[in-house]
Amino acid sequence: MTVLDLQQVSKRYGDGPGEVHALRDVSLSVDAGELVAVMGPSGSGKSTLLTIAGSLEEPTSGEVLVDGRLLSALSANDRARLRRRSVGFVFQDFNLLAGLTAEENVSLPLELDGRPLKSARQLARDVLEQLGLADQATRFPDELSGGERQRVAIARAVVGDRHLLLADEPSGALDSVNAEAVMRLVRAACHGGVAGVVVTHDAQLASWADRVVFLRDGRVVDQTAPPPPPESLLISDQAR
Amino acid sequence: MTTAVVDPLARRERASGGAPARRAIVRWSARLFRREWRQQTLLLALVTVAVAATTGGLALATNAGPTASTTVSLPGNDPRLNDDLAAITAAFGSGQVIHHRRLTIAGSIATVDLRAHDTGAADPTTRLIGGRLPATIGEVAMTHRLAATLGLHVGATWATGDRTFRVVGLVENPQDLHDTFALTASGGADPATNVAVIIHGAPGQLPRVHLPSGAPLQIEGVSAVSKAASTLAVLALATMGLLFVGLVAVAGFTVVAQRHLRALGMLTSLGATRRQVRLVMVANGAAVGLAGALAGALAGLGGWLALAPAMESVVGHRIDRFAIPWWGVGAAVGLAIVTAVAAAWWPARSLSRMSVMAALSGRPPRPQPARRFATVGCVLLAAGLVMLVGANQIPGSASHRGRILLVLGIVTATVGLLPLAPLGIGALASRVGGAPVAVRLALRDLSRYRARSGAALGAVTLAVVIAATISVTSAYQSATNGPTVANLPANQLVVYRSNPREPLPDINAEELHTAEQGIATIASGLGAQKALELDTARDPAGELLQGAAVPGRERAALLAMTAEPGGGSRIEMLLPLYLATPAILDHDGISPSQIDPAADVIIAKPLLALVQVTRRALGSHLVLGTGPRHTIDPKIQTLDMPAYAAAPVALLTAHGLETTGLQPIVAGWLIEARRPITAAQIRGATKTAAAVGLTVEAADRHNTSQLGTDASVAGIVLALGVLAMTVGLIRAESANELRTLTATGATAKTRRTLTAATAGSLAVLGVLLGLGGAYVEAVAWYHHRLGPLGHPPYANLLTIAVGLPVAAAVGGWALAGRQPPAIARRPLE
Amino acid sequence: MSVRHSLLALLSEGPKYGLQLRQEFEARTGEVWPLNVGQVYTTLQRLERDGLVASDGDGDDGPQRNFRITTDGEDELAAWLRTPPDLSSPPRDELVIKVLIAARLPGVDVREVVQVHRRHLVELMQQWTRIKDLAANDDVALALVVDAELFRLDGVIRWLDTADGRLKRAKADAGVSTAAPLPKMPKLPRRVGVRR
Repeated sequence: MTVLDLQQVSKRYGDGPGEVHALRDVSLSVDAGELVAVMGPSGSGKSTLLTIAGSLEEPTSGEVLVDGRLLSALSANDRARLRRRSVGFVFQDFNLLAGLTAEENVSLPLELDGRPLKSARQLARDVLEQLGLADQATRFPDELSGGERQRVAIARAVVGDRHLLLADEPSGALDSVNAEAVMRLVRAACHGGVAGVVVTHDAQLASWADRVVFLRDGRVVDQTAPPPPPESLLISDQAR
Repeated sequence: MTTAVVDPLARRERASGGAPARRAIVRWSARLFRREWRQQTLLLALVTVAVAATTGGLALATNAGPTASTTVSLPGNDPRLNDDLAAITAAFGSGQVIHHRRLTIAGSIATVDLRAHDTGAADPTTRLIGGRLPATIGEVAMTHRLAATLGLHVGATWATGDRTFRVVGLVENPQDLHDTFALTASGGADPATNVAVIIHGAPGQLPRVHLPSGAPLQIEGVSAVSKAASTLAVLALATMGLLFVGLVAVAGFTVVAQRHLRALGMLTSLGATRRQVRLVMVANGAAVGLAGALAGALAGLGGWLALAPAMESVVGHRIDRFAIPWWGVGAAVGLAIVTAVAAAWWPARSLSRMSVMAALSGRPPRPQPARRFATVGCVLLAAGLVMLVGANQIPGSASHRGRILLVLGIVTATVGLLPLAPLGIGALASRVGGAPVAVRLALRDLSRYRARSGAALGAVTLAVVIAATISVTSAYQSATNGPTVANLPANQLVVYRSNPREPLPDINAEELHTAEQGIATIASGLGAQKALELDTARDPAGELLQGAAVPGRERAALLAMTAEPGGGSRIEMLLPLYLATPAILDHDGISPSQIDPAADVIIAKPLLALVQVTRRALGSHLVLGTGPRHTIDPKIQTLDMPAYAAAPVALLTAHGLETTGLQPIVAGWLIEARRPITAAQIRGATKTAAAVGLTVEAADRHNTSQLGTDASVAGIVLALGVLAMTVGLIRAESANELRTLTATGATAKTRRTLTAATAGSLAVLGVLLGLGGAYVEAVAWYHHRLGPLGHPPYANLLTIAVGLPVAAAVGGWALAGRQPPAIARRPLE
Repeated sequence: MSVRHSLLALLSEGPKYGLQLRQEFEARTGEVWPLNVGQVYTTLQRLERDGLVASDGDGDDGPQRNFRITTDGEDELAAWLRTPPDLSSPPRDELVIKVLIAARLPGVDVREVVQVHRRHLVELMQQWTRIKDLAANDDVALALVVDAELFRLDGVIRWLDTADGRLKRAKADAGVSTAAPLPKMPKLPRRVGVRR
């Protein structure tokens, strides 16, 4: 099932001589259960792609469909609702609201959606437990390490029945061991049925994806082949 | 990660998430506020102070106005007094009837108001504060002041003229603590000078009554219009105050919003609607408003209850400290909350409209084009000025509508000034290319964060406008209405040869000798070294200026204003003239060479404007003389000299004396002591004077108005306070840049310059806008008589114009040297 | 083999003499790759045998013979440029040469070549990451081996990214730079033996 579908999306900023083409005719579709990495150097338009996919910005031309719904046909409030219900964002840093505990941060999108406090909290606790963050539930963001903060952010991005996870360099500010833990979590979430898009310039991070899309100067220039079945990779492992 | 238990479609389709979402937002906002209320202490304090001041001000204003009961007076010699009283009772309802008799005190210009009324009945104008009320016509109760003047106490005997009273008690008029009188039992003040009846209702609202005797009805009291005016004044003040608080709060909340920019962007990315994002700030505003308003109301009420007794002597009447305009306090609290919410809503609005990505990366919203803002400001300013002009043209500008239009005009024009602030900042920032880096950085920052610097500048401007308006208008008023000066300074006495209300008698050498001996006694009693002889001039033939209605001075030289040249029937204004003897000139600090040989009269400078204004308004002629034979059109010279009503303010020169052909004669003496003269000294002087047939005039209570100076100082203090707050806010927010600067090797001097430049430039702009605005408003209001505006209160305005920027820059310099704490640590947002 | 393909690449610019080929080869690899004349001629003979180049002489007077590339030779060159190098042991040199050469060749989009390699490397990394992902959590040894491989590949990709950026900037600066000879490899100062 296709969760995210970008069709011929272009984005221009500015006018006249200062005009910048952030994206040119980008098409990309992501299925449920699939983790796609968008790789490209800085300024290649990858963050723009993510914000357009998450309805934070509108494309200059082209269409975006999330869950089969055309974003351009939705009002601002409807788009906000879509973000609450279907889309989860994880940014490089600054993901959690200070002043709210980890659990409250996770339950925030549910509460924004009008879910009663009790059930929202219960769901948040469940997700944190599943992600092995049960101990951190009652802590405030400034009491968490960077890696823990990012993992709580991922928990928030997938809490409820949200099934589109958009991450912008989610492990960019972390050391490689913490980065790996974060990416494992993203991958686990995707294999649980979430469609994931990670934008990054880091090949190690991108290599966690099922598919890597290369973005250059606002265009999709290439993508990796579908991976061989895991069995073929593990022959050596099994042989041991 | 499927943790959903409820089908999303089964949930109610609401865009905003309803009450649970609002609860979540408000909870977060409250949590934020709890975490960082310290950073918002300034805002809280501001709202608190404003509400406290408004509450106290409302209580004071309600109780400050004159509370005199309305009285109807009849002349005491009314032949049909009882019929008239019956007619008044029939028309206005029955009320306390008070007989007044004016008694003179031997040797003093002062008189005593002896009252008599039925002491058994309730009387709003009398309150017993010691002893008892008089029961017979041989007993009196008197006020403290009178008792002090006469040197009497309860139990003493007071002999005056042919009557003798026993003092049995002390009383006061709770409606007017300055009221000085003696009270005796009914019938004790006959024959009465006049008879007053206390009635209900305000003057102007009473029906017309024709008295059987045909005597004119004199009604005194506080008019409904003046009561409404004081309410209106408080309202205008409260509006200004809240506008002020609102502006500073906008600056403050802009900073708060800036601080939470990324968090709010994050919230949007989570699916919060614009309304919900605004709710965060609005809830914060409401919290600040509520906390500040309640604390302020409590502080204001507490302060009022504690200070009310002290206020009684200031306002001059007893105060019921629980007579508080509760509706007004409630309105102030409500308005403060609304102001805080609105102030928080304003930056939240532009924030919720900006791009989420910009918010997430912490880029401030692009400032609104200053020009469009400025256009709005110009339109408002123009509208306000038109209202001011219009308010003055409504027939009877004292009317209700005129006053409302005046207040509206001032508020509109002042509000119109505020949007001009960002333009000023932009203009200043674009002209500093060659300045040192710290100055450039400070101005660049002001211009970049225009939302908060604009609001801060607006607040400074407002403070300057208020101060400048008060000092400009009070200067105008005093130029128009003449000096509202005391009769004498506290350390001077004037001793007249005879009571000035009576004609000046001739004097022979023996009499003069006796008088001079009395004067010497009085002077030594006061510790004064000498007495200054005051001479006047008169016509030896005793011819009178026709129509001169000032009793007692008919025969002495007068500077008068008459409807016709040469002394007509109507005399509008009179100034007694004293001869410009060398002794007097020396006393007033004038050297003889300063005097124009052709001048007939020298007058004190403040009087000139008065003379000119009256002359222009009435179209009358200025004459000098005592009667047709000695009346001339005088040549007047003005000089700087002290202006007291009883002291020589108008001097007849030798040239004037010659021209009029009058003869000099001794009128009295001016005695100057080193210290303020006490009541006991005055009593002694009066006694001595009475013995040799002289009359003493001492200083009345002082009511010299220092309004203009006070306003300038208060305005500077206010503006400085605001500056300190907002500069603190702005600079605290750029702590990060400060860290970078320090890391790049900036010294304390750089930091000091930065803060001083920020504060100083805000102050300079505020002063320019504020003074300009105040003057434009004054011109609009006084457009029909611009003359006196040509004499601005230079000292006061200069204090504001120079003092504020200098104080701001110096303060910024002094306070900003501290090293930023923990260079590496960056607080988690 | 890289000498073989390098010569093909030089010939794709136009017919050249054997000696000239040797000089240009050395010049363009920054003199890090010395080549003797015999090696050049052996390689050329093999290329002629395989039908990838043709010569106008009959085989004796070596230095005078003029070589040119055939259509098959051009196909072979294009295929080689896009063939991932064997990264098992010192891999970078081959990749570097490929990129260097691709940058010189008219009609070849060097950035596209870079991208092909990048994609291939990322695919490799994906496979290694998968292995790490599927391996038991306590298999530290495997994780260490995989990490080593991932970091090595990551390093290569970073070089490619840098090269990509550099080439982009060079292209933007001026079209001339591709025609000019590559700068000579700077010599590292020899510390040993300088002092006597």
